[in-house]
Amino acid sequence: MQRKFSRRDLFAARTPSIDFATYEIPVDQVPVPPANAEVFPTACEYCIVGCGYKAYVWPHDEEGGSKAARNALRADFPVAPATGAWISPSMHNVVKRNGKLHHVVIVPDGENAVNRQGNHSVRGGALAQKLYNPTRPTADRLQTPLLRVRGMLLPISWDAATSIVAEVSKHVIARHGEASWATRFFSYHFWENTYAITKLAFASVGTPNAAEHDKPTAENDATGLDDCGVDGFSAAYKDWKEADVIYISGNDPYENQTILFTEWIAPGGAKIVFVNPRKSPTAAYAERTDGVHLQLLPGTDSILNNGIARVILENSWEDRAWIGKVIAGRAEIAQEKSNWRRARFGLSFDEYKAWLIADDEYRLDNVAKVTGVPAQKILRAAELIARPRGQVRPKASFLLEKGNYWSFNFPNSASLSALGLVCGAGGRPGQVMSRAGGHQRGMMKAAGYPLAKSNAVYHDVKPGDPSGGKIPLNTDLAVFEGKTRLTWAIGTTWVTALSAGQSLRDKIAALTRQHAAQVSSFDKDQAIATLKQRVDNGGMVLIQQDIYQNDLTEYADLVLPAAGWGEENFARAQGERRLRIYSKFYDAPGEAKPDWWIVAEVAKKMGYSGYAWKTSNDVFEEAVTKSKGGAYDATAVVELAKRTGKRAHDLLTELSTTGIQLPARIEAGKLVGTDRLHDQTFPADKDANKIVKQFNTASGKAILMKGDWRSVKPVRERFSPRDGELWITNGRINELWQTMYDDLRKAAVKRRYPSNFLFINAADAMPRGIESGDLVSVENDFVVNILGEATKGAISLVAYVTDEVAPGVAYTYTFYPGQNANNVVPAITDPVTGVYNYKLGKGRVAKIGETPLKKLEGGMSFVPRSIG
Amino acid sequence: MSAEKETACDHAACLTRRDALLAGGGGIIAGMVAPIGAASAQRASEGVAYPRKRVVRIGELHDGVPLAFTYPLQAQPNFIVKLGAPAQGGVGPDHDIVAFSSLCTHMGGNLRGRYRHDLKAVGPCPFHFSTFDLTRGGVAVHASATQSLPQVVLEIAGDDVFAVRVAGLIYGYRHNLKDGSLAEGAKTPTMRG
Repeated sequence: MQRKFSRRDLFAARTPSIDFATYEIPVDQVPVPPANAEVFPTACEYCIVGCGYKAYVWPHDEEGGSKAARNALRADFPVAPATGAWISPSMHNVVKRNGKLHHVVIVPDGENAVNRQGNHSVRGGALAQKLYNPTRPTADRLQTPLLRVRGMLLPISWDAATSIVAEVSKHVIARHGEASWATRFFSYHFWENTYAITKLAFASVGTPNAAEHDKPTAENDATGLDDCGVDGFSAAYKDWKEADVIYISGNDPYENQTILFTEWIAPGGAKIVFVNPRKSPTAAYAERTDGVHLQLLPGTDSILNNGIARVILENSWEDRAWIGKVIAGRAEIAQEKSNWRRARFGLSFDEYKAWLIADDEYRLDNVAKVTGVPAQKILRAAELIARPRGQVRPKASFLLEKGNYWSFNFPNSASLSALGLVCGAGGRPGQVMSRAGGHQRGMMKAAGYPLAKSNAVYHDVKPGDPSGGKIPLNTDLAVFEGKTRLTWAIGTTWVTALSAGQSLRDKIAALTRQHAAQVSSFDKDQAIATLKQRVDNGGMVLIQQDIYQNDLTEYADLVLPAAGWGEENFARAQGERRLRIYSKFYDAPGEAKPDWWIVAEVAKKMGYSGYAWKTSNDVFEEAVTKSKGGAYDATAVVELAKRTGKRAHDLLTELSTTGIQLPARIEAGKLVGTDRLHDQTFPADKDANKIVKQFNTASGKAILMKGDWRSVKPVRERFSPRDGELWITNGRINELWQTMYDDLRKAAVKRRYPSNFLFINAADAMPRGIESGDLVSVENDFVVNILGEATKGAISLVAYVTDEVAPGVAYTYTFYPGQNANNVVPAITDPVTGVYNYKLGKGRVAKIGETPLKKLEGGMSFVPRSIG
Repeated sequence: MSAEKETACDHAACLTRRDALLAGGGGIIAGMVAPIGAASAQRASEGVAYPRKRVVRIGELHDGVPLAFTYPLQAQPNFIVKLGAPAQGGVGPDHDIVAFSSLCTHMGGNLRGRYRHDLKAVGPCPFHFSTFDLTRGGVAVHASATQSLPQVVLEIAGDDVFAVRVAGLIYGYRHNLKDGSLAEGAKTPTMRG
């Protein structure tokens, strides 16, 4: 028994939220869990890779010893390198469990199938820092429902809060129609929650006015990949290790899927063709290991992909045997009655080849000129991914993410999927195509999106066009047009996340805080009457449900506190469709409740049936019924649990941090997972879902989709920098996760990035008198909003002068709170899918001062990130 | 190094030793000695008495040439380097002498031979590419590591550079002073007293 840790924690408790290095008091000891500590399997909260972790929880006044027999890690201290048994100070916190004070350490689990040997990213390694502890920077977790009364958010009861949401919702739907009731909701935060939300939105209310957290419409992500018949997460992680070469488009796997890179890509030794405007850390790795970095200009992916494909076709390097076997011809494409994009943009191989060869736009010299990538490098890329060595073809795989499909959604992802298919990728060991992924796969829809109710169509659809061309409605547009009367935002900052963010803020403010009808009493009936008055007089009610206040909160009428990771039992899948339990191991703060519970309370008060769940396991077992036949089919998990008299969550707990790769099936009484989808090597005599054995199309064959650069060339030209402006492109970086809801409360992250930054090349910095550490402004007077109006957008950032970016192209973190990249990004919708092209920001850059970060004391590091 | 500066350093070192004994540890006054970024070198641990070890003579240090030493335990490898540019916690006339653990705080990769003098940084780690800025308290520039590289707090006494504590937990350990024997030449304050 050692008491000093509780004293130390009290000391740490007085440490202020750390903004600068010199405020940090380094810790030089950690408590070790005793041998009898409780152990809970879980997986990381953050990126798609979903590494396995274990939470060790034990009473605060106990401690384990240095010998393996005396601690729950079964480790001898000091632990050896690369064993994953070390507890860094970032892995420790103090929490309440069943009302009593406990230590918790959250340590990577070296025994699972994803992050073997206990490898972890900078994000997952600090999971413990996200836990609620009122003596630490997480003290500001939302703990009780809040109602804005007389302009201030003040605590009210759950009963009052859910009654207000239900009554105003019923009124909105009855008076203004279901399409005026909107939700913008996370697709990442666990099946139980997304199931409840989509049950209410799509099955009960039936609104088409809904979109996931990162998009204005309920459209897919990598649409051109989906359309070719390859699921976004078709690959097994072991495929990246088996590949000879990996073409990575618009993604940096070291930064954003760290363990995918350090455990599955780098150890396999594949050469990397790295397509990215930034010379980011993986770009440096690619060049160092005989790969090639194609440092293209923003928005030129489709001409590059098609140009490389043309080089391959001109040299007859395409995989003819594969093409003959799996690529759809005209007859198969004609079967695509329910997918207008396939009917309209699908090509047979001969048509694809003829198109690329005939169009001079795709000549090598022009491709080099437009993309800014030297012709020699383009040729080198084509050779790496397709040129046979004697009789042997290189095993080429293709990885893409938002840099691809968020800078012209459809043509970029379609051109990439076609390039991959002609190189022989898509459903073979080491020859796969997949998204790298952002967040994990937390969506389990209770019902489909009601597309028939959408009023939006592809712009180029002619009257009577048999292709139809209906697309989900743009939820931002519905707000601007005054159609949306209530929005329930669940786990999304909305104004931070979407393009033309400042214009969107102005509109939301006018509809909410600046509207005449404002609640002035805690009296429930009076509050409901006031909000009904609001919606009947052109206004909008905003309900926010989250774990912290954020950029959206200033417009909210009601704020509902959610319980999250570690605070309830949940399940979801990661980037190779691996389903795991995310165990509850500590008490949620205050009155915070899981999202499914909040939705169910409101749904019941709205008069809907089917929400009588008692536990998250109840929701899970119901949700899984909707997975049948798909890529995330988990019905076998529930089936096997029932056969053995268990709850499905308990069976998942037994599967621990390895879980099961979906779709799962039962063979000889045991769960069997699926390595990869569309698996052309899958035994023909084995029974499995169609998606396991075939491409995800009507015919089961893959379709070459026409992703035409010409369709976006004039749009890109219109929004390109001019008169001394720079591209202000944006994305993630290693240390920062999404809207930084946890990062803002992690001392080490705030120390590294106390401000959002602008990576700027010295050639752009010097003429503007800019040095690292200066405060710079970025202003764009052509931030076209969703109505097509030119608005102004601005952000200020700290300059980080680096050759990571090319002259003319600057880069900033997308979602830094208060310093949102989307302020200078126009709401350019993809012409085919209506998805925003978030990467295509631009602006004038000027020095407006110096920041304290420029000084040595308490400063920020400006060492180049891509060394070595 | 000028004689005046030597005297000042000597004086500070004397204060340091006396205060260290009064405080029962070397931490509180380390900030008075480390002229830049002092707070990062303060109070590495409450109530932990670090030993003191003579690491090197100032004259033996050459710009950009790291030297290895163990501290505070014999199995804990560190390096000391004269950066040629001022650094947080830097000692010496140019505030540029710093020392850090050689073990990456991610998974214990050995950073020996990975000092980059052009950048005043160490890395990338041979395991998973973590890189640390040595002018700013060992902050991870780009890393899988969630902790800065532990900085060895230095003091100057005459021509000698002493290690007096470590700011940050060394990879592999639950406590910087447990589970091993003291480094060769390391003496605890009580022993000195």
